[in-house]
Order: sequence, then C-alpha cells, then structure tokens
Amino acid sequence: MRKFLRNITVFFLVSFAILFGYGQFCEWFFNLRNYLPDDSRRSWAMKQQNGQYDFAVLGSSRAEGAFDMKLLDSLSSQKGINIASNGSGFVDNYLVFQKFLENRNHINTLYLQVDNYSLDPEANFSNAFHVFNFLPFWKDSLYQQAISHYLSEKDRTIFQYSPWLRYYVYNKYFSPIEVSRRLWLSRKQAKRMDQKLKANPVLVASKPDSARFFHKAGSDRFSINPFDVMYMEKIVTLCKEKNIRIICFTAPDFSAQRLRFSNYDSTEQKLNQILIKNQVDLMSASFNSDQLNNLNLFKDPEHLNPHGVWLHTLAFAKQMNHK
Amino acid sequence: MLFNSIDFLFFLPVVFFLYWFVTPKKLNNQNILLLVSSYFFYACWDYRFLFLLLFSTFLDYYTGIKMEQAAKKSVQKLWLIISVGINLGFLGVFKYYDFFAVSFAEAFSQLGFELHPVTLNIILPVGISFYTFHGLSYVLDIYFGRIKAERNFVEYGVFVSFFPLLVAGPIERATHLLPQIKSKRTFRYDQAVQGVRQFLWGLFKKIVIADNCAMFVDAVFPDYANASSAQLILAVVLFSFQIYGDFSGYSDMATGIAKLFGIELLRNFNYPYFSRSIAEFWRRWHISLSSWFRDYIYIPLGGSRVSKSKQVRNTFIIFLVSGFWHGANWTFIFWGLLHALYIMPSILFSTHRQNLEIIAKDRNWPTIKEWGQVILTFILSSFAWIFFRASSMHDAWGLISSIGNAEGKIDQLSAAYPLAGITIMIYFEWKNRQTNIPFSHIQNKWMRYMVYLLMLFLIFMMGAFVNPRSFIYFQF
Repeated sequence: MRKFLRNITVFFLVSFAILFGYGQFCEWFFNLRNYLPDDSRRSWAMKQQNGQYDFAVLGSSRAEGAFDMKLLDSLSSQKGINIASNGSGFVDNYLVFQKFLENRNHINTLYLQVDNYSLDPEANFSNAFHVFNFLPFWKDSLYQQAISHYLSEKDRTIFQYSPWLRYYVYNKYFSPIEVSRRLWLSRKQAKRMDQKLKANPVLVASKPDSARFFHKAGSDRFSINPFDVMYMEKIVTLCKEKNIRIICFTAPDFSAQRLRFSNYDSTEQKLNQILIKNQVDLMSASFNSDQLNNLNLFKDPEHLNPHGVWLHTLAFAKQMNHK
Repeated sequence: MLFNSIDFLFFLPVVFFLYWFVTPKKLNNQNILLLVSSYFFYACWDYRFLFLLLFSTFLDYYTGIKMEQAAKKSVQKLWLIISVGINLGFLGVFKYYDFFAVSFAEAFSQLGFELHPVTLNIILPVGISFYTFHGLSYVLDIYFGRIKAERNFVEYGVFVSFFPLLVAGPIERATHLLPQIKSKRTFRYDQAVQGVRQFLWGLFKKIVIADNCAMFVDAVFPDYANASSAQLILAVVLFSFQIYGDFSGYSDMATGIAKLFGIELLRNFNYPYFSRSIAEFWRRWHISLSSWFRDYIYIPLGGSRVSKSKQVRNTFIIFLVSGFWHGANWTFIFWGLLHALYIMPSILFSTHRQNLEIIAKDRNWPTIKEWGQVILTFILSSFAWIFFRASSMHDAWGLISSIGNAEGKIDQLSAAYPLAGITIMIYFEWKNRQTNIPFSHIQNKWMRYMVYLLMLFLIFMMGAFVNPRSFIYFQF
C-alpha cells in the first residue's frame, strides 16, 4: 500500500507540475502574444485602439456578413468599422463594445443589429456566451457579472483559485497548436490579418439548395431571455452615457423563416416594444418582400450571399444618408 | 456524479481511504461502507429513485431466500414469477409504457380508430436496466440451482449496487461477484496499479474520443439535410467511435475503480473493432449483456443444439430483445434486427464459431484478407449504428438517403481532435490487443510512466470539457 501511495502521489505531483506550468505559460503567453486568430473577430474588435470612426456596426454574424464596408463608407461618405462577430449575443456584444470604447476608439453612431435570434442566443447560437474570448479579462468586474450567469458557483471558484485550469477547459482555443501558430505568425502576417478583418468578411457563394432553406434542425419557437434583453439595454445605456447615437436595424433573413417559427411576428413585436421603451430608433427593413423571397440573395436562411450583401449595402447606405 | 467529474475526484479518494485505512479489519464494515457510498453515489443523480433501487434489491433478496426454502418446484416457480414479473414490471412502466401506448395508438389510427393514449412522461431512473438485470440473473441462478440464496442483506446489496457498475454495468453475475464480496479483500499493489491504468485509459477514451466525436456527431445527425456527404459519412464513422469510446471507456473506468477496492469485474469489451465478422464482433462488444442473453434466453430456448430453423428463430429473438433492451424506440429494434440479419449467414453455414482468437495473434500485422474482413465488419456495424443514433426511423432513412445526394455543408465543424484521438487509441489498442490491461505492451517502466503522463496531458489538452456529456449508456 505504501509503495502504491508513494508512486501515485509522485505521479500526480509531476503531472500537476506539468499542467500547472503549461497553464501559467498560457496565462503569460496569450496576454503577451496577442496576434489574432482569423476566426475570432471578438478578440480583434477588443484590441482595436485609438480609432476615429463615424459609425460602428455591432451584432451577430447576420451583421458581420451583411455589409461591404468599403462600399458602405464610400456611399455614405463616412468612415465605419464593423465589429459584429459570428455567434455574438447581446452579452458578448456589450463586453466587446465596452472594451472597444475603453481602448479610446471614438464613434458617433452605433448601428446595433437586433433580431429574434439574438434574444435567445442559447437556443440560436452555438455558444450562449463566448467565455473563452474574455479569459484575459477574468478579473474585470463587468466580465465577472456576465460570467456569473453562465458558469456555476463551483466552476467560478475553481477558476478563481486555479486560473491556469481555464486554459484546459477551453483547450480548443489555447492548445499547443494555437501557441505554435501564434509563435510563427510574423508581425507582417498579423497586420495583413488585421486588414482582412477590417474589410468586409469573406463570404462563400453557395448554390441555393432548397433543403438547406426549408429544413433546419432545432426549435420552431423563439423565446426571449430577460438576461440578454438586459444586456441589450446596457448597450443602449452605454451609448447614452458616451453621447453615441444608437440606431437598431435587422439584417434580412429568408422569408420562409417566418413560417418556420410559429411566433416569429409576435416575438418581433415584443422586440419593437422593448426598443420603444428604451427610446431607440429602429431602421425600417432594407429589403422588400420580393428580395426576402429571393433564394439567390441568401447563403442560408439567416445569412446573405455576396450578391445579397451588395444589395443590402446599397439599401442600407441610402437609409443611413436619409437618417 | 460522473466518473469524469470534479465531484468524483473527491469522492473516490475518500471512499478509498476509508475502505483501506478505517475499515480494513472487518469485512462487514468494508461492505457497509461500499453499500453506503454506492447509495450516496446513486443519490447524487436522483435521490428519489433510491427507494426503487432499495425495493428492487430487497425483492430479489427476499424471493431468493423464499425460493430456496420452498420444498416444491411449483412454489419455487411461483416466487420466480413474482420476482421476474415485478422486476420487468418496473422496467415496463419506467422504460416501455409510453412507447407501447403511443405505438398502439398509431397502429389503431392506421386502422381508422383514433385513440388518445395516456402517456406517463416519467423520467427513466438511471441504470434501471443494469440493476434489474443483476437482480434477475441472481434469482434465475438460484432457481436453476447454480447458487445458494444470499442471507446477508449487506453483501447482497453491494452485489446489486456496487457503485462502479451500478449505472452502466458491466452486468455482473452473482456467481462471479458475490464470492468476491463475501471474502476478505487484501490490497494488492499490482491489482491497484492495473486499476489506475485502466481508469486512465477509460478516461482518455471518454473525454478525448467520445466527447470530441460527440460534438461533431451532435451537430450533423439532427441537421443531416444541411450537411455534406463527407460530413455525413464522417459523422457515422465518428459515432461508431463515440459509442465505443463512451461505453468501453466507462467499462474500463468501472473495472479500474473496482480493482482499487480489490474486486475484479467481468470484462465488457475485447477490442470489438478488430473483429473479422459480426459474430466475432458480438463476442467482443458489451460482453456482459451478450453473455447474459446467451445464458438466460438463448440457451434455455435450445441455443445452437437445435434445428437450423430454431437456431434462426433463437438468434432473431436474442437480437430483437437486445435492441429493445437498449430503449423503447423502433430504431433500437431495427438495429437489433439488422445485426440478426448480418449474423444469419454465419448461423446458416455454421461459421459463427470461427475467429475465436484475436486478430493477428503473435504477429505484428494482419493479412490482407483480415484487413478486408475488419473493414467490412466495421462498415456493417457503423451502418447499423445510424439507426441506434437516429432519433427516429424517418431520420435514419433521411440521413442514409442524404449521403448520396447532399449538397449542403455545415460550417465550423472540425474533426481534427476526434481523428487524432482515434489514431492514438487504435495504435495503443492494436499494440495491446493480446492482453486486457492497457499499456502492458510497454516493458520499460520509465517509458510507461512517460506514456501515463502523455495520456494525462492529452486528456487535458484535447479533452472536451465544455458542456460535459453524460455517458450514452446511462439512458438505458
């Protein structure tokens, strides 16, 4: 028994030393070496500094991929930045926007994408909240407030006292592969990546496939999560505090979505009431019903394809100028 | 409480310490400790069902004694019927009632009668199929005169509810486990080390392989209409490894934990994906269930010592019952039927007792013919897994028909981690295929320690810890 206990203790101590060492290394490395992975626009947006913009676009992938930013800038004669990112709900958006402003970026107007999908990101997005994107800001009280809703008390306590464990729980994003990728990424490559993210996101043109548009797994009802609504209101409050004009908009989705979700219209009405209550302007729809029915403008039921993006940018610029 | 949870990380050392340091002198104290910790372990899921477990344990304990005391065979039979009837009754109510109610209503609606079945919508007590089968094997063994009835309730209670096997097996036999529970256990270094190794290997299979495969599979199976052909094929292959990693990983962990307490459990998996035929696959997959059905259904029906037509009948019965045991859904029944059809040629041509030894025994590599047989067996079993995984027959056929003509593609799906994990697993299992203990092919002690460290590091680096998944077989 003594031999067993001795060997197992030594084994676990050595294992712990290795794991602890790697965790500490991650803590140091990922804060220091912040070249950007190309799939994390949230991190990219939070690292922008000292920018002067007329407007910014904030929202989920439906906003991220809804604009040709160069075209929008030229049509509106304004300088904008798109800090929307794939799968972001209002909690993600609030924290990204907060960091964006904290980094001395200045904007006059915020175009906030609001829709039925982002009222319940847990049901509609792959992650209700992207905990891993905000790990470097673990001690930040705003982050702690948000995280308390998504992580149990037990998990938070563990992370609080063993911060290195966070890098194993979210190992997909902090693996040795990611470390080596960032090590080999030169500053020049990082700058090129930054430019790429600043322009409009690359969209893959896909052949419209009716099955893809009419069959979709998941719930057929929308729900409204009060926690997400609260964070949407926090974005509004933040804009008011910083004297930023806020205008909400809804990116187009394929018309069949209205049939797929039994409470599409009623949820939309409730969303409008929330916006009215918060005294926020909502831009009228950029696409007419013919366009919303046109499969050739969509990449999938919720996202536009390049042709759709071009048309949407034209329509959006017109409305911007009108506003 | 999952074996791969933080809670278990605290639970296991405490029980281990109490077992070997506080209660080692008296066997009864050790057994009481095991019984109490097993009930605590079970209560962590749902304490309300403790009563059901206790009742089921007491029922079989009592009927076992009554059966033994009965002088007449008819009275023994009556007690057997009471025990089997009540056990299966519980299983029927909790597991199968809703299925039958809805299926009958659907059948009647085909005939033009509209019925509105009353469904119970009750949750399935975790592990009910496993502990019910423990109890059934016990009373059947007493009835057939293989064992004597157990008079010590604590010892019988440990046999039914020993926490490593309580919720997902292996399905133990009284003839194998009860004698171990009744005899004094002494700590053996080699046994404990084997236990830790087996636990580590099971943890790797569960967290690195099964849970990573699950992320891909769970994204593709429900959304098959939007996936590409390659994604669908990959999802089917990954599910084959997911269910293997999940269930054999659990079994390895259970066996490993039991070894830490000086108890040997039945082997549940013996490298099934190295099988050269479906018959061999079933000798290597979920062995404790297959042998249960063999001993308590197949052989009493005449087994293979009857005419060919009866052998065919018996085989179909076994596989349909096996499918139904897994769950109240036509998909499981069809899965069983498919395996019965697969195995039929070997029954008809009496080739099912071939390939009793492991592939490439005492050789490094299999022959080309063996490669082909292994691949074909894997394809057949993977095809059957589609029905096992799909939520309905409609979805299963929909997925199969989509494989040929899928044009979509689900974005942001990566199979890199699961494929890397599967490669590592196949390497170690191949190297180790002639033994039961993981890593035993590595002779050098220091090299072995390095491999353990590597495994632990891989578990932390590649494991899927976000949204940890329960074990698939808990639902059965």
